[in-house]
Amino acid sequence: MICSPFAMRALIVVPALNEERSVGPLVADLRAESGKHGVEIVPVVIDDGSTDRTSQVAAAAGARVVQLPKNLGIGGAVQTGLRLAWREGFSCAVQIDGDGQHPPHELGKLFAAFRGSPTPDLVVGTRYGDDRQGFQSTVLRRLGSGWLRWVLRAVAGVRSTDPTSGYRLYGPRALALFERTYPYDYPEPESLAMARAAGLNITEVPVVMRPRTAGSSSIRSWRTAYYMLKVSIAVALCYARSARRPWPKAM
Amino acid sequence: MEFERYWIFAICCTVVVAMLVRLLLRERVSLQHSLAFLLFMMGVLTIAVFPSLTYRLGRLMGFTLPSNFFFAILIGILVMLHMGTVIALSRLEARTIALTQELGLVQEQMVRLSGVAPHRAGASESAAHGNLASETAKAVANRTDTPAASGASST
Repeated sequence: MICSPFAMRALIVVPALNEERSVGPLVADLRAESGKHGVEIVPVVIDDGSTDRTSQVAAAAGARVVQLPKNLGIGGAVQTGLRLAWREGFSCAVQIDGDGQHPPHELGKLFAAFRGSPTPDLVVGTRYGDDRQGFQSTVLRRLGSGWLRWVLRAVAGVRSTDPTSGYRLYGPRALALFERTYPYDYPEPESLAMARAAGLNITEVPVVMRPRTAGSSSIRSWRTAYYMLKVSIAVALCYARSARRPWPKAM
Repeated sequence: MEFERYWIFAICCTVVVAMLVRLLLRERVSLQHSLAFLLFMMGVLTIAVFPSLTYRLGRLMGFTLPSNFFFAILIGILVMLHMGTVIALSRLEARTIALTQELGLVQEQMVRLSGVAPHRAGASESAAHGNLASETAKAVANRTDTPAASGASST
């Protein structure tokens, strides 16, 4: 392991697909955050088969860049980063969207929650906290989010206010779990159920999110039905699996 | 003899089997994954040529109509074949994702060790979308550039 003046080293995983406009400033902001919270921050951009200059922009901004030769989707990209963090012995990994929705200055809140006692394995940044500042998403998305919240609570016993949030911190136990198995598409709610099934400690902190600065969301209206159905069944499967064995098996 | 009644069916089966054999000969499908389907088609062909077999078997298993027995068996076998395909596909997908991730991680490590910045601008997609000939020419030009340049510097 590399010697560091800080007690903690965090790998910031930025999955990016054609985000050449927003990834540069994001990496610069992330690097500026390093050391601020007593945490050494190492940003890694997972270029999920971009056709633009995402990789070059990210490398020029000073990030580590993992170029996936083929597009894997968000789940495969995030897992690549989590694998890297697990193998290189990082204290934790933080997933942050490459489109600029998640402001890096909110990282401190995640780290503070991670230092709490008992140490959480998964810290989820929620935009539906007490103060309700910043970007709150559309009515339809909030409706879908409400359904997912209900499914997660009723089936998997996870109390989450923002199950689709992709702004989250993974502790060592979460890294060990997700390094082995991670959902491929629409992974956020399902991974919460998986974490719960594996007996991980999940906690939430309110964070302020911004509307996306560039690019388009991966969730489009005509796919919403598939999304809701798939995630609901996946959560139920996760619960059934955990009843049979405590640790989901990698395929 | 019921042979007259099912000859169209038999021809259809033969055509499908012939198509499959052609795919096998051209190595578009592997024998390992098409063997079950091939055997299934052979079975259907046998039934088309000797329909009395279905009558006897159907009556034995309690079907009043031989066609019902035939369809039930057919659907059952097709469901099983499809299930096998889905299992194989899922396993392949998991492997492909794991391999792609490994490739990306190894490449990143290589770039860091050698200190060369990433240079492929959408390498995987540009060839598919752009002009394949010009892309190839460019790639060859880039490739021949390097040894020539290093050769010039060494002399």
